[in-house]
Amino acid sequence: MEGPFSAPVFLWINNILEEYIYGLSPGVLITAMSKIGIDIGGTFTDLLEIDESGGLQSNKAFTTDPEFEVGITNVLEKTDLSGEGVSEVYHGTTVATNAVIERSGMNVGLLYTDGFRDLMDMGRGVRPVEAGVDPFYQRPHEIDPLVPRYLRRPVKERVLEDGTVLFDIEENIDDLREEIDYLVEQGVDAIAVCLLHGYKHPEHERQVKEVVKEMYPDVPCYISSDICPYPREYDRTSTTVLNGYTAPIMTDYLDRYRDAINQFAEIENAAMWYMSNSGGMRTYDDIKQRPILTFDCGPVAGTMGVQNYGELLDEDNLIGFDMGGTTCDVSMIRNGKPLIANEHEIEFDIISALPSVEIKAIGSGGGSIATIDPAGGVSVGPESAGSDPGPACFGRGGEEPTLTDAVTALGYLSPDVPLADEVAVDVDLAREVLSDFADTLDVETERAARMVYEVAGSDMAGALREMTIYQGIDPEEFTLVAYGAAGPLLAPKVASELQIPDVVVPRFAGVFSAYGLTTTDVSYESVEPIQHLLNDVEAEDLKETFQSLREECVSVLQDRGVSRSDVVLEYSFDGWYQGQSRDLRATLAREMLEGDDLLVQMRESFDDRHDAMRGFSLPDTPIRLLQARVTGFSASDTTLLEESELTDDEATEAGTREIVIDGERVSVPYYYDEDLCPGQEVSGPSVIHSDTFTIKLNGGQECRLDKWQNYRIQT
Amino acid sequence: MSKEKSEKSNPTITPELEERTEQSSEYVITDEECRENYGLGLTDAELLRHRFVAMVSQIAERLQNGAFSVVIRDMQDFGIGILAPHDPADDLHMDLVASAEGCPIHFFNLQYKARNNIREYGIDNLEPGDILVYNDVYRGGSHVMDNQVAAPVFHDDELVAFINIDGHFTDIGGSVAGGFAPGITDMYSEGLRLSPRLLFEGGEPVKETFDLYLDNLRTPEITFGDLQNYGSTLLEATELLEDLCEQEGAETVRNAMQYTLDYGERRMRAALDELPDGYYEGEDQIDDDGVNTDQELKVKTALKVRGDHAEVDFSGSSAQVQGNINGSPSDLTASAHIGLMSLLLNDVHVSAGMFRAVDVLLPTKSIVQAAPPAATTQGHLVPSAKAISAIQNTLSEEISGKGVAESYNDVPTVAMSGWDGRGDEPEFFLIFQVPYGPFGGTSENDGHCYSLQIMGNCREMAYEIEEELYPHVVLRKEFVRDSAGAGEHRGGPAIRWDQMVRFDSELTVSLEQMRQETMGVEEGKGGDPAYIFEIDMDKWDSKTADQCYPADGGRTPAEYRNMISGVIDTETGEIDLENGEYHTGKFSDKPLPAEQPFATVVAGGGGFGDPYERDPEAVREDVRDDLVSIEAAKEEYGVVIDPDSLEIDYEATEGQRAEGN
Repeated sequence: MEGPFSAPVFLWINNILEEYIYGLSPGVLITAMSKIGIDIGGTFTDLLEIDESGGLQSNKAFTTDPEFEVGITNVLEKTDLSGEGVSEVYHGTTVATNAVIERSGMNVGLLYTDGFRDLMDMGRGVRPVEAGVDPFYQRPHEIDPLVPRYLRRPVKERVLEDGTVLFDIEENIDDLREEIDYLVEQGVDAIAVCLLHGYKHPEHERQVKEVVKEMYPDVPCYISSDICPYPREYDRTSTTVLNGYTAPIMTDYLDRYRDAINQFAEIENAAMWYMSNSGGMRTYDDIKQRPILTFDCGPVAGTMGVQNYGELLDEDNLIGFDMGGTTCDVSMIRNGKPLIANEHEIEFDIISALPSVEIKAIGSGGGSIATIDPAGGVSVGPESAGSDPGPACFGRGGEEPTLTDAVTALGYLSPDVPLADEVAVDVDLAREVLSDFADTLDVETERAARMVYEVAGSDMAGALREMTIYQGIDPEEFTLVAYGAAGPLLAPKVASELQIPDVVVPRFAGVFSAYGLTTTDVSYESVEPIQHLLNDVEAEDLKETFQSLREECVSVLQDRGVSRSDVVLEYSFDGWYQGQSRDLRATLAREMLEGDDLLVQMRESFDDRHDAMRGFSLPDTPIRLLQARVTGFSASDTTLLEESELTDDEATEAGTREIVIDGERVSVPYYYDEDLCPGQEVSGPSVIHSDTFTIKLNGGQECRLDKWQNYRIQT
Repeated sequence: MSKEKSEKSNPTITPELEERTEQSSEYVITDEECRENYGLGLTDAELLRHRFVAMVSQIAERLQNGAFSVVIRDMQDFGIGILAPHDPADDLHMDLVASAEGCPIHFFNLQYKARNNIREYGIDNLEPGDILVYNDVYRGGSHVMDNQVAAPVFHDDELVAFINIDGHFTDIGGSVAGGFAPGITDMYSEGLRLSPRLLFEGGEPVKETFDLYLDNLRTPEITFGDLQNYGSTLLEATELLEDLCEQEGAETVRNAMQYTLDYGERRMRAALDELPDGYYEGEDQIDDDGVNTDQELKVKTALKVRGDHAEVDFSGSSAQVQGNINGSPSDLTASAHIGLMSLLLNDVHVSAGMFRAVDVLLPTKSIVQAAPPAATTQGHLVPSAKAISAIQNTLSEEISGKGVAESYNDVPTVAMSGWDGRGDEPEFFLIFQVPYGPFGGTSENDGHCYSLQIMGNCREMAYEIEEELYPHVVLRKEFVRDSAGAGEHRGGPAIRWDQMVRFDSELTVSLEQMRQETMGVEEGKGGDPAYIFEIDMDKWDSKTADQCYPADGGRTPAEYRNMISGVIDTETGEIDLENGEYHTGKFSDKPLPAEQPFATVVAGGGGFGDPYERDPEAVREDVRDDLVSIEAAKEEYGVVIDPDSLEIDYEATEGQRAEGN
């Protein structure tokens, strides 16, 4: 069978999982027949079910914020669950992300090392590039605090970097109790604790947690050494605060989610997994304890889908291009793996400092509003019409010109094919909303529409350049995978601009994150801070550290039902050249850990990595070793997709229509997705409509449907 | 990014904007005019304008990834510019076409430094693959630590552009490590001075130039890495622009540069046109020059606005001084533009087109344009900061409804050096800090609480990392209660650092804004002045953390032991701007005993608008948040808060406010 586990293992896993997740005794035997992914997006909640031979079905229902479980129930009700049985349900939730963006989280209190009350407001002291000379600028946390100043209370303690205790917490426990009382009186729902150097000397933080637990057992307390065991006081404080801010909401949501799932007898016994932004599936307890792991996990699920597509198409280097209503998310698979960033930024300089799959988001999507400045300069986004009222051409009261209005005025979207059977575009409204814009510049409406389209396309090409060329990576060696409602429309154009030769639009591009969920492996990560020069550590000590990290990782994964033989481990460490301060992660092979020259191997691995990522290496400069890490995954095979016979028949066009290309009105054929069969070819200029996306092919571009019904475009 | 912010920087077509657009429609260019003037359509012109900026971002990313010094890689103490070619017949004068990341002062002054040096070297002497380097203050530079590298870009044997990087060097030789050393009185002691010369020739490093650096600087390893990185970054960067010329045609690229510069000019003129004509005078004080500490100095500005043109005249500023705070014309010209743009066009990427509508006049042998051999290391920072604040203050008082009060308004430097005894053998260490601070209140919001003075924009290192690397303990980095200038929108509060070194060391500091409160605007009050004092560790207690001053209205820090810098009654430690004794904040190599903590307090931001107009609820929140005491709430804001419930007593508040008015 296919999927993450082999059959006998799977039965056993489920027994374990039953215990783990539900605390029930094992009993029901399930055969792994199909997997379900449920992804909550801004407008739609998507579901995709895929069986072991790659047959699939998908559905959409409106997202119901804040009672997200209603949308989930709705989409499940739309779905025929009568197959052979569902073994796993994978979920990507936006509850935590939304709570932060909308500031609808709970009251969190912060206990900090006396003297550092204002880290959250100060951040790292840098202004965004666009506020370079803006004296009106304020940080997001100054405007909308996650933890207001009066809920930030001092702990009289201080440990130095070498473990020296400057101020002993023991002598100040009474003060601590007073502060905790104060926070609870003020009605906090959770307490976050971040003490200086706590990531490697966690004793004081643990003591604080004990005191909170003893005084108020019902108030959850999160300490930075558990949540984010990395150096840098602001980064760790921000992460721990975000966690405390979102945890009560997440806990509440997870229970409602499980109730929603349990209404359906066909899936109530399925194993339940939760998407994390590190690119692995986590358990209920993981997510409940660290909801920060779910920030942006929807786009990350899309990236994992791209990784699986890479395996399917036998391509190692791919770019994920996900464009929806408000943002465009770009991510990369390089040498078969997603790029990992050291932190995830939710708003400017508000960060979760845990490693996560790198997503480059720009505020440019279908709903992005086009503006014109007093000297006639044009920009598109980041302000968006969102889903309510949405673009003017949706006829729901939008009054500002958006990218969607521009492409509608250019004729690329069809008024006859409503998006997700819900929204049809109105060409007249689109033209009307663009006319002011056109008048200001004294051009025809269509030329104004083209400006908006070109500027937006150029912005997206810019985001792709940042991920590739800026890092010394040639985009010509990559395949672009385009998804989201607007991704396929812009992808052929953006790909041409960057000279990316191949574009793939997956058959289910409209529900791609849900697909990505079903292809993601179970994972776990163990980390240990080191903070010494590589020359100053003993190889034997390091081996022991890696050994214990490995044991922890394996045992956790085994607890989660992964058989020992299926666990794949990755050994890595973070470091920098002495004098630098940006962490760089280098990997180690298992053999190195057993050999006699571990330190030499680490040196070489780091120098190589530095050369690959930053263009040079300094083999004579000491390396500072920051932390050791072992990451474990359940070994899994590629998730397959159902294949179809290729046909020799010519593609049948649905009709011809006038669209605007380079300022000229041209009559071009258009096609419906449902009429096209694997093996058929379509040439540009032309337009292909499906009910969840539209592809616009430019002149000279060729498109063929492959055996999995994906659109393969040659730019 | 917050909603408010993005709405501001990206105006949608609201009725107001429509009106504004109509008013200034003479500054909007039509597609047809664009084709006539530049031979390319508006869409292509706009795309290329955006593309130039994106290209600078790309170069910045490459520079930082490869950089070896902390100042470049983390602190972003650099500027990058794409410059037009030199072709006066076509009105092109190596103008700044695009810039993006880095410190504003670096890219605002970039072209002034470039012009003098490149022309001195001789444009015709340049070949593909050549890279020039220069840093001389008196050839258009800023201070001697800021070195500029310039690469000509060729297409079909024609010079089509320059790409320049201006970056800070951690050390540049001279008598003191790092270069910042109050007390120095001439340029010869400040560091290595370089007339323009080749750093790379035909793509290959020039050994003599490398040697000159490596033989004279205290940090040869870092410098070697950085010089190599400047070279490889620029050689790649020139390829980017060559490729663009290949794709679009050199003529189109040149026309797009013209378009971009003209666009900048139209933006600036449209903004100036909105300003009422007038003659606005402003000034700001400098505490002293670190040598003649009795003497206060000033930067004076007169802003003349006529139609869509402006002039900034610095006449009346102090004569040049013995100490190292003398300014250079490139920095002060840049500061005039930063001051204006920060209020008029703060959401646009700068180009030299914006400078065309503004003339700047600088008196010679003055603190804004010194003559050799005056010392200038701190002069890059201090007169520039004051020039920006004087212009901001003037504009804010004159344009109703929009303005900003004064920030902490300094770019302080704090250095601690000594021998680290933590390892087996003592190792020399140098801790260098540039304390950030608050902005002033504005017409839109309370002052931003923490970043570098607006001429700079750097990212801070973490103390947990610093303490690993150096024998250093930071005990506090926190707001100070009742230190912000009161106002309808108050300033950001002052910030206080308590820190100590673990071994005997020496302390070198430059700190400003101690003799004056920061300026409030439109009836806003000033923020507290800066100062430094030694801490009595026995009295160091967290409960005094927020209050720095006790609540009884006195101004003696509770754990005060000894005065270091500031205007303070030396017996009590009380701050007393009128009668206190002034101790300069600019000194070098003061002994700093092991484990003797000292506190550095930067100034609080000024307030905007009448404090009695402040929303009582906002005052209550500040009291709740320990930023404003109950006493100050009543005295300064006229808001009476019940000390037990912390609720507003509305009746008493009304009475208090009526009485106060």
